[in-house]
Amino acid sequence: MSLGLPGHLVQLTLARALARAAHWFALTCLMAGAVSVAVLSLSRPELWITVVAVLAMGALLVLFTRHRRIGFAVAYLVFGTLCVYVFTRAVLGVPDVFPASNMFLVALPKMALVMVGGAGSTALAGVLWSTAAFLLAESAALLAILGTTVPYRPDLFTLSTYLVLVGVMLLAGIDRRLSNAAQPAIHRAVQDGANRQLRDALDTRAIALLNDTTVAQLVALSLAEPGGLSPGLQTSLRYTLTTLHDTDWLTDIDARSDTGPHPTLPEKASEPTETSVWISSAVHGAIERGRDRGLTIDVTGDINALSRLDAGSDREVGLAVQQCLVNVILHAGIASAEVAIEQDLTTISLRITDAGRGFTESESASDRLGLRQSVRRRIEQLGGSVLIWSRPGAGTSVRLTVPAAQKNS
Amino acid sequence: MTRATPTPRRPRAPASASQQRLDPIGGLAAWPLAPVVALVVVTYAVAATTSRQHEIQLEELAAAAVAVLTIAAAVLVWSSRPDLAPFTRTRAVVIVALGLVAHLLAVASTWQFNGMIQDDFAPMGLGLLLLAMAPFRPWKEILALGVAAAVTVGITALAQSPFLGIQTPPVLFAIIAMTQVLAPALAAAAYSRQVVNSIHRWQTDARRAIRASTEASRGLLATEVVDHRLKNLGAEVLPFLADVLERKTLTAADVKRARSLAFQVRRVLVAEVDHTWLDDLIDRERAVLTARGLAPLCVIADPERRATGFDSDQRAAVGALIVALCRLKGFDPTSLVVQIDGSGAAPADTDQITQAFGDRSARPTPATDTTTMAIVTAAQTQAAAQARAQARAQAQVHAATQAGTPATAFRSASPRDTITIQAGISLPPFQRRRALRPYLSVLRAVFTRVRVTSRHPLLTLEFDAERFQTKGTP
Repeated sequence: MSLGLPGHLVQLTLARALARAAHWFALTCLMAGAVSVAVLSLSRPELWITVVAVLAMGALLVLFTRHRRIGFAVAYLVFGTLCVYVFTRAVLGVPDVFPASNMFLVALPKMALVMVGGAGSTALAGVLWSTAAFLLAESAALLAILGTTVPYRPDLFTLSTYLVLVGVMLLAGIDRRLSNAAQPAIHRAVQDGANRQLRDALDTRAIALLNDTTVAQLVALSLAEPGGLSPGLQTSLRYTLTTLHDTDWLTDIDARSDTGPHPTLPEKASEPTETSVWISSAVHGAIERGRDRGLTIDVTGDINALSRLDAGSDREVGLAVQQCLVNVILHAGIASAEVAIEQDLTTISLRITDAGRGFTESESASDRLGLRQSVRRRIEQLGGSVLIWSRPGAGTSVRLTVPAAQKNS
Repeated sequence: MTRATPTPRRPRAPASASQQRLDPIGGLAAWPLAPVVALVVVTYAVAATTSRQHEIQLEELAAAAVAVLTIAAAVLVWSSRPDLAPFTRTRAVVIVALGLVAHLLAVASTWQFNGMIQDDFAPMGLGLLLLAMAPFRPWKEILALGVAAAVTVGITALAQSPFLGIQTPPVLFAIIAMTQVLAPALAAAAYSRQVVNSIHRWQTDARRAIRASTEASRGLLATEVVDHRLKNLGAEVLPFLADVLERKTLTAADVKRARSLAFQVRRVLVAEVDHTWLDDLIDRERAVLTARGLAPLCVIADPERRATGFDSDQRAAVGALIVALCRLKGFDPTSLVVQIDGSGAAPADTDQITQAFGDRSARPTPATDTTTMAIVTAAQTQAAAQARAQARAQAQVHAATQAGTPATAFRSASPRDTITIQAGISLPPFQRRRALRPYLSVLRAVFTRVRVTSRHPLLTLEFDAERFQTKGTP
């Protein structure tokens, strides 16, 4: 929430808010005045005209604050002055009630009139409007008081209201020199933060992809026997190199999702049958690549469940499964693994199990990248979860659960 | 956009929003209102009391009333001080409560002898105190406090009506007294509401614009990331793979080389995964300082990567502050230390491998590795190691100096990060304060318990981040 108003909006915003405040101050005064004189006119019917005057002034105020046109401001000023005269004359004309002219009740319409300045678009304009209103109101009141028998006393209520309003307007109008440098700096920091976030997201993908390709290739080579390259290794090596030499691999990753990682995929033009869905899935591709590297992989469970994944999820799950299988090759010390696929109404789970030597803490420390980036972040970005069970000597089981389209029964 | 498209409704500002919270720098500009209002309130109270001595029956009570109202005004000034931001609800309630106590004392001091309601000083004082809260509190709260105060004042006016010097219906006195409170209170509430809505609208638009411009630079960022990654991969890996593919045979040396390269690349990638936004930020400032011909030594001590738990506002506030510090005149480029520690678990990053692997802190952090990596330049590694070493030393010194104070862990069970930023700045304290004030005000809006201590020329900022269990900002 630290994005404060920029300099060019400050004055406008403050002027609007001050106008709203002045409006409500004036309206409160007028309502209080209307109720008061209404109560008084119950016993003194000649006061009804003051009720009308105050209500009319209130109506004009609402009109003025709604439309904020200079015409309404002038009308409010002129009509308000008239109302102040009528109000003061009538209220103070009531015999033997008010001891002097400086009654708060009498000041109410005057204070409401002074508030006209709050609607000024700049501090200077506001001060000028308020001053005009103050002078007009005081003159009208003085004229009215002279026509009554009540002794004149200066009205400090209107004066202090006027002074407070002018003070606030000037305070708000002072240029906020201090914030001039800081506000853009904060703004820049927010923008930088947003850029960095996007960059991190891209970087996460890039690291995951590099881990899947480059590191996986290096690992595969380091585990291979010296001699001729196996056809599987050649294919995957070629795939890695073409991927990385293509400079748009990061942004193209989405577009390439359907065609990329299946270099050995037989193209079938027929309409998708269950088997073809399985064969074209990225999980199948990952398993095939694992088999290329000499791993025996048993696939059990409901292979058709994968059809419920959209292309993006399928690709990500495929890469995650591939990483799990790479981990088996690297760490399990065993040449077989099992991939079990299960589904329920809203999710699909894949469990990759091996009976190898399991993880130890030291290994997981040096090699957490694969699990962390290529498996966990991937699956969590899909809104899924990853559970890993492992104990030294007791094998490893990784369970990937991802949300999928509703199962149609 | 077609006509039929409904314009999206802007999200409403949260009910707890105030100008100070949403726009701390703007709130900073509004703060002189409070001392001015306080002065007016106290002056009026003193003047009104001395000019009505004939009405006062119990001088002690009258003096107490003025004293309590003065305290209320003092609390207002204290509460609105920028270095004690934010202005909390408790403070607002205390101020109004003190004002009401002052009113009751004043009423008691002139009981049965009050000539007129309208020249009581307390209702108007209360109204002005509420007016001064406009930049600091949400409008609903000001309204509620104003109505509560007005009702109290109205009731006391009714209670006094039989003894007053003017013969009008008693309800008139209540209206007069209540208006003195309500008019300023409603004005304050209206101001607060309007300003908060305007700021919120601007923030929504600004965030949208920031998102749009970020999206626009996606291609550029992607290219940068790819270039960076390929460069980091080094001149060795890809040619090696291409070479092997071309030869179609593998020698024992190749196998060995592949193993060592795999190890190195993985090392680099792991180190990069541990990089946080704070590291990025400091790296950039370090580069700026180096470009200015200085020899910066900026230290980050965040072994648990707690920085990743910060939300975007907190990141922006800290980022802007650090940038401002580094670019301040008189900044000592070797002095910046940023340290994050805290209670509770470190932020839930995606690297938590299940319990089967034990405590994650048992795992060594990659940065402590001192392998010579072909890919990371030796100089970088050395600088990083040196920086970490100094951070540890600083942290120890810090822990030693903090030993006397109770640990923050006792304060609450909720996870909390404590950020400490130290920098040497040889500027006169006044200039330093003035330059940093806006940044600190923003900091106070997004962090709790911001403490600033300085022992010339060393400036220490400490603040807490309460961590809520969020799944990161979208």
